[in-house]
Amino acid sequence: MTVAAAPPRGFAANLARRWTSLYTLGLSEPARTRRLMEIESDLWEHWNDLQGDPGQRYRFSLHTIDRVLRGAFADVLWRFHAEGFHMQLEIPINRIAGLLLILLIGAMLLSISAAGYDTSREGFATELTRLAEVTGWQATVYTALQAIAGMGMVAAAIVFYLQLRGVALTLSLFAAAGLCVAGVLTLVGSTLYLTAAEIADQWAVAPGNEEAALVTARALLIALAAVAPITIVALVIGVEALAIACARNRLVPRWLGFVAALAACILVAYLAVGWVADGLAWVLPGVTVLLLMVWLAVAGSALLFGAGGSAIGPTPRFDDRSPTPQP
Amino acid sequence: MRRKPGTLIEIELAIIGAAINLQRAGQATFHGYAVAREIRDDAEARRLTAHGTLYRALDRLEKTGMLDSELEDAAAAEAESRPRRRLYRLTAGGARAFEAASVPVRQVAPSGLRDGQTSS
Repeated sequence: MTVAAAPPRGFAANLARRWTSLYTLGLSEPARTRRLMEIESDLWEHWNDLQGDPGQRYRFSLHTIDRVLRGAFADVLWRFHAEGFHMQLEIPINRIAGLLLILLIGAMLLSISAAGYDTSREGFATELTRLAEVTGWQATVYTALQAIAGMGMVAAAIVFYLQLRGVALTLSLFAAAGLCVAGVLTLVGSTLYLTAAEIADQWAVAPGNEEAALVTARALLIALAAVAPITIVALVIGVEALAIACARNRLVPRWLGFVAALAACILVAYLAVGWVADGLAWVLPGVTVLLLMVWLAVAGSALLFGAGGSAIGPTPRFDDRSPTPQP
Repeated sequence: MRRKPGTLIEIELAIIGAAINLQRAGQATFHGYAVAREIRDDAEARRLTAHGTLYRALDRLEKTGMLDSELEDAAAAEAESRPRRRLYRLTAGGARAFEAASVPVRQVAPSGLRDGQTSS
């Protein structure tokens, strides 16, 4: 009777298993399973062949690492000879898109939160003192987060364009352009903010050339204040385009279309008449951004946690190349 | 560079040679590790054939009809608490290709058949 032995463990056996998992990634399931089973069986036979050898563990590890390394090139050749570069991977595109939409909420908040300093000439010294109270590491962390948000928006723009162009080319272009511009402006804003914070810091510590510092810092904060609304408009264009594309392809709940439409109407109303009333200067864009955040949160959650995230099913996917269904 | 159909390269000759040896020793079927060990012992080498080289060559030999294979019965593996083996068998075509390749017999035959003797 054969004595049952435990399967080989340790670094070498795991290296062989992980390597096999890696180079068989994307192969058809039967081919992948077959190779994984063969390697598992080989490891077991090898391990048990060395039973009784006092240096079993050492020999097994040495031989296995040697066999994996020497055979790695042949493994790769076999993999591409077997099924070429074709990868049968189940990438959960919808879930990734959902996560990106939710992350866009944070990016939106970060991209428009830098503005908010009073840039009027009178009393600007007080405002600069307020900015100087932000410690160096706080300013650095905030700027770093803004930079991440900016780069994230550019990355999201690329992902959404690549995934949506098959079903809605124009909308995907608008979405990508909007997010990309917002991302770049966020990066610009983070640089302006960091520079202004640096000037404020130096001004507070050693107020030498006071007037020059005040003028430069004020110019930077005015530029920052000017960048914020453009960023909002770019974001609104990007998210609205995404909203329309998602609604047309029934990727998100239908009622979300009304949220996006309402946000667009409010922004248009602001652009048309809002600027004449001081009281509405930030209320209407604020409501627009809030509504878009609601859209991002619900649409993102629907894609992230909804059905059909990774499996091919009746739910349309972001990368679905089928003709666009009409609403 | 493409090889001519039916020609065997060194590792394939070694595998078929090992399969013949195992057959003579009473093992009609063999798994991957068994053939790697047989090749090592026969060549009096210290190292086993690398995983990639071995299984790629086994796959190729099966595709060209020189070997065939099947997954062993699950119950047999379960009884010994080990993973299921893929069992290979040398086909008549594989044996013929091996003979045609005119490998020096002493390289593959067991000790009883060395020095120019041929197997019947």
